[in-house]
Amino acid sequence: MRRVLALSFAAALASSAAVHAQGPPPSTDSAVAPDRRPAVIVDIVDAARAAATVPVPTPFGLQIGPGNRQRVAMYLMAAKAERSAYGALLKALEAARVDKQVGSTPNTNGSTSLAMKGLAPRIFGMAVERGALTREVSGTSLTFRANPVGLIKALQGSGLVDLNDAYSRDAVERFTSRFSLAATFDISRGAEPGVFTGGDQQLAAWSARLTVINRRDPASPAYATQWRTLLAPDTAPYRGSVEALNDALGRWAAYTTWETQLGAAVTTFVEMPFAANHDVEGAASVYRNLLAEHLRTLEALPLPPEVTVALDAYARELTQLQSSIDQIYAFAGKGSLLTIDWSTVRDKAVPDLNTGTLIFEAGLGQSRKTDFTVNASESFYNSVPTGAVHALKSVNVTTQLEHPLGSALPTATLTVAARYSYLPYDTVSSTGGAAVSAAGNATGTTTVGMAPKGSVAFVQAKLTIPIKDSGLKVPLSVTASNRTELIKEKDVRGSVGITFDLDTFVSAFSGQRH
Amino acid sequence: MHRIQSRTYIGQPSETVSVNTTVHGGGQVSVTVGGQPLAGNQFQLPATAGATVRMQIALVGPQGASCVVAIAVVDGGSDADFLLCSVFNPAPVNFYDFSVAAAAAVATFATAKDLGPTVGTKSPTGEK
Repeated sequence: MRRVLALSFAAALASSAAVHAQGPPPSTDSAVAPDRRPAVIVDIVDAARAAATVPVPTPFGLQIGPGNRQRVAMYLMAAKAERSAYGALLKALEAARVDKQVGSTPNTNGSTSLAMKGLAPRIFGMAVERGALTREVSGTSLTFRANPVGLIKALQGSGLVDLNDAYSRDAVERFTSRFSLAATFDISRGAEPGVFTGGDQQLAAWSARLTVINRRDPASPAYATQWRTLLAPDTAPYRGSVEALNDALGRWAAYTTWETQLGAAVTTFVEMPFAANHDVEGAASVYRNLLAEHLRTLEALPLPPEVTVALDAYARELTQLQSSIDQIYAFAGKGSLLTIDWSTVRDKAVPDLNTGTLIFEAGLGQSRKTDFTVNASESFYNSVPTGAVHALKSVNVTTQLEHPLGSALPTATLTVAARYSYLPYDTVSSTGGAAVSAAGNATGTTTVGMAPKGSVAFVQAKLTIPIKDSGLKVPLSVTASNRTELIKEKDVRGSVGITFDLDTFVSAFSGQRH
Repeated sequence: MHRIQSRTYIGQPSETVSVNTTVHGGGQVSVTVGGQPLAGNQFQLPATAGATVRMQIALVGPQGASCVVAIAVVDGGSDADFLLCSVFNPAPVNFYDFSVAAAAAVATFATAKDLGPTVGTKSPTGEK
């Protein structure tokens, strides 16, 4: 038995430093706060759009008025986001998201994951993972993953709120949301290595996934108790702050005049046409423009001290409440999840490799802080590869424990994973590395290693360090195995993943577009 | 009971107000009247003309959770409202103010709104 220990600390740290050297990550203390006013307006319009689909009468007029002034308050905070409390709150609200899916499947070259995560995104997930920072050139993979319904709705311009709302109402959409598709492109392949072309030559893998059991939906009745705690007496200060804000704005004469004028304009230019033609999008467009125009007028008015005090109190209380909401999302995010994944990895050196995987994930313990994953998979080639005696490659069982280090968010996570593979026949495996010419250029060919039948065991420890507020995560991993032919880190090899969640981008883009 | 403006109503002494909430998307809702949780889906306006009472409806839940509120009887039908947990308004709290006036004054107000008496079969849009 040979042993191999793949260390990736040095290369990973160097790469991490390089990332920083190329440009600073988004700063949390940036002197210029992002302008979230357009996003707040989109939020208001989305709420009106949702009300229109219920439907309720005057869905646009309901969004702003006496007894409902939180949305305007949020706009005022966005207009004064240079105040640190407002800026921090807006950032926290925007960062609150539902679920995430990142990374390519473990069989693709650039993957840094030993076990596969199971929850598919509702909209769109992209990950670029870089490997082979040492002597061998590995793949740089670009993965697109989409839920069919989510992608269609995203293309139609729906925001995340619309999606969640639709999922909660439509059983068919809920069911179809259980499916997702992914395609991974290896941009080191093709005529222009390093340039993503999306061509057939660069298609490295594709996969389809079905979520069988998903207890991670925060809208599930299983989490009703957690949500109800947010209505308990100890959260009364939040509701009190909303009431104080509502009343403070109501006592501000200039505000009530503004509110009345806006209401009249919405009635005339939005509600009346909408009542006649039921054109939600047309009404939403006019409503958005009206809001933008009137809110600009409002933000130019000097805030009375009473309103400022009320806004401050509201921001303080909402920040606390949002923290509790985040905790519920985190708890729900560790619920049980059972998925079936089918993937095909394409490699020029061997026939296409198909893998069927059953994945189970669950949070362990009462607080579900430790994430437990177990995968069972079977891999077989489309045809018997040259040098092999059978198309069946291996049967694998992988288990993984992931535990956050510390309680602050975002936090680094420590992952320990083990994998057992049984190879019933002598077979072959692509090492995943492209051959390198004397000049150091990738030639586009990969190498094939022999894998005698028997058992192969892997153990991997990985530390994933998130870069705050950037959406980036840097994984550092150490892998040990009793055999080398199937391990990707054949020699000392760096494997640095850059994982990017595009849901935020979709929302931001939607906000800017509107 | 009549609608004066959005979420603001005037009714007769001891008039019964019905409140129905329908929640979607995993939300949880609380309804309080005069600071006390509403038992059932009805309450009575104060018995004294000139009195006021405030109803508060709070919604919490995941993004996309929503609550449709129906308040009756308003202008012969019901008045609707809609709360939605969204990115920038994750826990909406709406307020509804009810004022009590003498029956004659309420009738005069209704006439002024050109609605006639409160009993009737007006379409439940809550709008004039």
